[in-house]
Amino acid sequence: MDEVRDGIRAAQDSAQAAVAALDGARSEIERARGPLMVALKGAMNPRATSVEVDLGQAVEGFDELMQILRDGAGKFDEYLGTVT
Amino acid sequence: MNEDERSLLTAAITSGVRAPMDAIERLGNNRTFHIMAAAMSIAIERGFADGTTPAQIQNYVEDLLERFPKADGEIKASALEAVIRAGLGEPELIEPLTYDDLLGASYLLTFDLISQQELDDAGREEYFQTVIALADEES
Amino acid sequence: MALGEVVAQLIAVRGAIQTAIGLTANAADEVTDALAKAEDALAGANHDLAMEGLGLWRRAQSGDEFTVAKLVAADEALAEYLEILSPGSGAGTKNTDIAKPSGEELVKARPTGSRSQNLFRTMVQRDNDIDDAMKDLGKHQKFLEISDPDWEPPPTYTTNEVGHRIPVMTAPDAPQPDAASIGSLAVASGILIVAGAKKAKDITKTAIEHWRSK
Repeated sequence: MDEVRDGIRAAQDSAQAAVAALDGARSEIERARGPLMVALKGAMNPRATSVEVDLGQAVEGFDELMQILRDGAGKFDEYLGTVT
Repeated sequence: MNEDERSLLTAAITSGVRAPMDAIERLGNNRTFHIMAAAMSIAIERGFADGTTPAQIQNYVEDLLERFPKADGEIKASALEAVIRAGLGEPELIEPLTYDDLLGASYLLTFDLISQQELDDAGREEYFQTVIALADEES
Repeated sequence: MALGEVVAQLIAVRGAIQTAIGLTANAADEVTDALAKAEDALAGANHDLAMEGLGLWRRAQSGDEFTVAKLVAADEALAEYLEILSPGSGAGTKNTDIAKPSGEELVKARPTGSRSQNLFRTMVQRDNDIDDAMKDLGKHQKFLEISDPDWEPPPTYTTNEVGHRIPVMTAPDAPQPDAASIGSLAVASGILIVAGAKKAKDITKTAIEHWRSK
């Protein structure tokens, strides 16, 4: 059983590192969005304006991903609680 | 164009006409979706000029949902905006949309954009024929 | 804002996007690692909670690919725009070092054809099965009603010739109940109406779940 617990804990550490990396990526994009909006203001080019949409969806994606990873870790905590 | 296709398109652009469920059943979801996708694609092409800005599209959608309060909450503003912008050259924006989003947008936008054109009989027939020709590409 | 300033800002934004792509790719590696470790630790176990955890992390793995693809698309779009603003300056050079993940198929080439053709093709050439996604024909009814500003919901009750309030059968062209069979029809119709409402609720719930699972 210790082996299972250690393995799950190691997996959770990796998931936590993933959350930290995603959080960093999200901050980068959030920081860039302000200047982007100013720089693109009034841009008529569809490629330019699709950038805003893509980045908006990416930020939503980061939020969702971090939550999913945390939910997954929560399930493993519950699992360990039932078997140890 | 068969009678079922004609009654689907007529219902889609006419106020006060109930959905022809028998016709839709005979056409099947695939063909119905293709016809409505074609109807909306042409409606967007006719309703929005090249160079329409995202802000103008946002204003249109805001106004649309105010005029159709039953749609507010059922059809997402972001889905409507994405579909219109996809029609103006950003096809990738509809990637995350579900068929529900696309179908809801197709009925609402087709009705609104085509009824605004106040087509006469000949104009309506020409629109129907163009829609069916486009839908036939994939059917 | 002067053009030079706009270009400088957008170049900085590209820098941020590329950093984010790197971090997101790292996250993808970590998630893959986490999954492998968890699967090893759980070898042979088939506990619901553990399986749910694995399922969520697998979903995170594909979501990560989608997010990287979005960032790559944004970077490429910015590169194209910068090429228009500042042709030949190198600001619009696409970053070929970005390793595109399996979400690459989301970044599709721009199609050629009329605007309506392009939109139509994009809508119908999706991988999903339409029949499967829209199992219920009632969705057409719902959306047509939404787009009809004059549509009023049909009455669920009417009054019969002896003044009793009775439920109306809502199926199209269904025969209306007569006075002789009020009792049985009222019960049957009531069940139909309740079943219809439950079904509509289920459809909405499924649609929401479908959207959330995207």
